[in-house]
Amino acid sequence: MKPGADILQELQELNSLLTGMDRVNVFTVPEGYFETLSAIILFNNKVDLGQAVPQGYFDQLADNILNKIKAQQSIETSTEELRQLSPMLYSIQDSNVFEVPAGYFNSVSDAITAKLRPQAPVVRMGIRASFMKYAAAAIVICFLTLGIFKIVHKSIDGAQVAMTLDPSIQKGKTMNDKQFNDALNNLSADEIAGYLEKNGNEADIAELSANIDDNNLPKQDDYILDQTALEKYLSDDNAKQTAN
Amino acid sequence: MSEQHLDDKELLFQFKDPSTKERAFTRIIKKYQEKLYWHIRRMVVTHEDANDVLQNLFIKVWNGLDNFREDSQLYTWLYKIATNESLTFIQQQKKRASVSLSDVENGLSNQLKADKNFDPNKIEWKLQLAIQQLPDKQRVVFNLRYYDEMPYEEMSRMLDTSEGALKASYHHAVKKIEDYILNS
Repeated sequence: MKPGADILQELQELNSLLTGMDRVNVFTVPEGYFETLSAIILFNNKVDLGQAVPQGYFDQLADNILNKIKAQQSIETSTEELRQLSPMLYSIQDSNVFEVPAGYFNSVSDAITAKLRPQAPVVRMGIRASFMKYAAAAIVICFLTLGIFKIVHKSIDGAQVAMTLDPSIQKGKTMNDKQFNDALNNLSADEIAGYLEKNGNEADIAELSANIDDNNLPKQDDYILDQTALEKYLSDDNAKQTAN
Repeated sequence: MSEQHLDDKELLFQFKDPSTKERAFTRIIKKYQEKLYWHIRRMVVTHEDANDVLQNLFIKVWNGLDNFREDSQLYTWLYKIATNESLTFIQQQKKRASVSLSDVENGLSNQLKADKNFDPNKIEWKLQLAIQQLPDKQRVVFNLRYYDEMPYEEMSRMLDTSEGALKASYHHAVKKIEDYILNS
């Protein structure tokens, strides 16, 4: 190997013995060394990227890619299918005529979770409360029933009434208003309920007796055994009075 | 993290944990509410009815998600419930009105016509009227394929019907709708 001209000139200026010497490489290199050097360097110096791969990533990678491909193919397929079936419907596929109230989708979850919250417990009324309700109704009925006898003026066949009415009803007829009200106030709910149970039918009979023609009064057995008999006579009596 | 990107498996895991159940449920609602709402709305037409059906759907999800076997995708399961709830709602309307199914369909058509934006001259409204003329199940198939671009394979699992039958039903529906629009 010959040195370059500038190097020779420099050596001549230095009057060096090196000016006349050829450059000879006395060192040897293994055969094929340089051809394999790069591979050896890469093999011996692997690069560490330092990035962690999620666990199971490679196990799921194939399925994930396939699913994405299928989804993409499906969209392309359904679109292509529609384009071939009906270009008209294809052209309006993205149109939407329906409106949604503003902010609706922001409120859906709150509305649903509110419905899922436990409802307030419903407390049932006790038996005592139910009894008091019926007792109050009985008091009103009793008041109305006894009050009717105070208003009625027609005479009643004493013998018939004695056979069918409870003495308390007869006693009530002789009371003035104050005595009547005081007696009523002193009655307990049990007493009122017991009275109505015992004398309800008889009270109806007494009212009927005071207001209809005695000759047409039905037999006592009819009142006691058949409730419809009383209703029939009442309706017949009303019809007669209307006709008159 | 956006609800749209939450993994269904993670949501189901959180739902089964009592300490995160309600939070997971809310996320499921937010993730799927719009898709399910529109699927329902196209069946029952009015917003008020769609809202009722949608809420009933998610209440059923709350009560039944613990028993979800994960043998299908979560959204497939949700779509199935939404479809059943919509069809049940329509059937109940029919019974309440004591009229034939065709009259119920006319009822839904009338509800379309009652929409304040209804325009009989616009093809988009004609399309909706045409869809209401389809039988219930065919309407479901058409909506799932046309609007949601659901694969036949997935539709088959959801509706328990063969892919071939679904494809035939969809093709037939497209032709019927086209004829209705062109002749209306």
